[in-house]
Amino acid sequence: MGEPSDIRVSPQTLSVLEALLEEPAAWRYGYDLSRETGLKSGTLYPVLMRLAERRLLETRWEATEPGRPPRHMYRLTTRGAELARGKLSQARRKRALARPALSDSSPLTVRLSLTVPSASRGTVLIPHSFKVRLKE
Amino acid sequence: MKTEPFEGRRAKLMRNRRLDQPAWVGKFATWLLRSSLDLAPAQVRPWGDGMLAELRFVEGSWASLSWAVGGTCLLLKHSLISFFAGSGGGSAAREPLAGFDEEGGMKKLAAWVAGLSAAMSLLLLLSPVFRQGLRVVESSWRTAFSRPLMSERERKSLAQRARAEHDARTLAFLALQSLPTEESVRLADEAVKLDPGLTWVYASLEVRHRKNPESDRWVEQLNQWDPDNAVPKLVVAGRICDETFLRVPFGQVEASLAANRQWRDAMAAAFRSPRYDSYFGKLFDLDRDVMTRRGLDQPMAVMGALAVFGFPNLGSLQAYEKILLAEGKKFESAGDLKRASESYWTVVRFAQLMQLHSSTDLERLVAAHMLAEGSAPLKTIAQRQGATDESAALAYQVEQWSTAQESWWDDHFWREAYLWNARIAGDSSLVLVLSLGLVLVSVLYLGIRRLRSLPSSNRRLRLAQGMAVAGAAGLLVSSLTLFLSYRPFAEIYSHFLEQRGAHGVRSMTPFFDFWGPSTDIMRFVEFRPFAVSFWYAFIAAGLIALTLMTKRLVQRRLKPKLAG
Repeated sequence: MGEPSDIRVSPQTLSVLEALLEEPAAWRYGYDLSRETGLKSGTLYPVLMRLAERRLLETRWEATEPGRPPRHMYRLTTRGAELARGKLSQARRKRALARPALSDSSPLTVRLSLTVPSASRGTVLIPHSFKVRLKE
Repeated sequence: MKTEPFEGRRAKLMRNRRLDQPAWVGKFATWLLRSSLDLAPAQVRPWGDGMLAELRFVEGSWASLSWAVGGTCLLLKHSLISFFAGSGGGSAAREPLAGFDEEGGMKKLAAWVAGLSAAMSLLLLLSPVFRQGLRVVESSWRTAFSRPLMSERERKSLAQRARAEHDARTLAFLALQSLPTEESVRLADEAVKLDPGLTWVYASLEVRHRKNPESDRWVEQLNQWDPDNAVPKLVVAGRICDETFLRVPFGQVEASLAANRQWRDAMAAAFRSPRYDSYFGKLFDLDRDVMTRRGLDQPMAVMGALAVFGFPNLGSLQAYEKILLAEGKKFESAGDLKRASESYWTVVRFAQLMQLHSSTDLERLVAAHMLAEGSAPLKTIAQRQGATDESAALAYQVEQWSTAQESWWDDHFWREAYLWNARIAGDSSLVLVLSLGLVLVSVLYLGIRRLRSLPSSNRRLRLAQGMAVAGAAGLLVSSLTLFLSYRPFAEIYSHFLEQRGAHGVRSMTPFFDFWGPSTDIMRFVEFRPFAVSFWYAFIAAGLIALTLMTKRLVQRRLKPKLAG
């Protein structure tokens, strides 16, 4: 088993950590995490398994009514939550450094070209560009 | 809990959406995940159970399927890892061979498996059939890149020895290989000068080398040497026919030939000839003799000579047959049955001669067609004249055409089977080369690492070991497949060399069609001969057996260490 700090923090792992960190004390279902992070089961569960293996995530079975299979639930351990905070702030800092010139008010120029049918020349390309501003 | 109005609408919408979606998809998703859960190792099973429990809450059938497919892939991945590592999951499942590698055991095991597989492949080299198979495949690659079957050095050395020993037959054999015109002409002339009995070589080369500067001399010499044979005349007519094909639009070829006095004279002389010998028998004898005497274990040289050995021009034969039949019809319409019969009998007599003395199935097929075409109007004339016996005999000759066709298509089926067998041999040889490359690269890497005592990551080491094992296993499977798929051809070739017939020898020509791995799946789907299915099943069975053996070996070595 590797050290918690050794964990490979892929963008997918980061989004899982972020989702789990929203309410660190709450138990979360796999499908809820999948919807929140937009990750498919084949991506989400390996991340959860790695976190659990390094004791950053704890799991338990939810008791359900008889005849219904119990649901598996997950939440970060104390160590997990600490690591998640560290990794997330690290990632945010990196993200901020990566695009210093681009603020919310920076205009972006979007260039498009449209292909339209033309009776005389088959098809023609119409270049077009416009500016947009990022919004929250 | 009271549901908010918006949530209620959303839930209703979702329910309706679910109703639109096929229920079987959701059922299939559950079945898929549950089935893969049965295969999953114990350590991963709780996670699988978790995914299965969540499946009830996934909205939409297709989303359920996507969820189930993702979970199945994950579980199967762990099942495979566990299968090879013999461990249930956890860290061992993630890095199944890590613990073992630290002990150096995997290195030994990899070396052992790779060494054993490579040694078994090398053992196959002791088999003459395998060596011959390799040589044939190598030659087929040469032809794919338009290179002669024998290298220039080999040819020159053999020609030198033949000259020194006054061995006309070896020189003739070399002339008949796929060579540039000048070299071929020189060798043929040398051979005929030493042994005029080999003049027939001119007939074959004349058909093959269109721009032969010695053409006229050769034809004259050939006609003097074998005046009773129809084939030298057919060679002359064939040359005129070829020139006409190039010069005249397609629809006017026959009319142009009919007006060509030289061509008509040559064809008339051929049809009047008392003998028909296309020299294939002589060619086979020459090949057998030179191959055996010179110890040339090169079946492709025989195939090469056979492939370039010229047939009498079939277009020319067909055109003359049509002219004679049309003439007969004209006489028949004019009421001159005697002259009409003469025209028809000319065709029938030549066809019989060709059928009796032909050495190849193609010649026999052409002869059978001509025989039927000529006999049909003769049968009608005989019936009209009340000659019932003659009419029955002619009717039998007409029927022979359908028998000949059946036999041709029967042979064609076997040719397809041989074609696929040759393709499997060709594909195996490609895998063999790739596997050998893998083994060499990995052994080189491991060797350099060991010699220089270079530090290397476990991952790289494991990759090199994996490559060595995979390469060696591929080497063994591809060698065995090549050996077994080439085996029938080796039998045919040995049958040919032992003078027990040359009928099957053409089945080896598919090796000339080698152009890489067989990707033309449509042909496979269309024909799928038994032989192909058998060999692919054999390869699959071999791979499964090898996988199981590797698994057992790995497990046997891993278990004590993991337990420790």
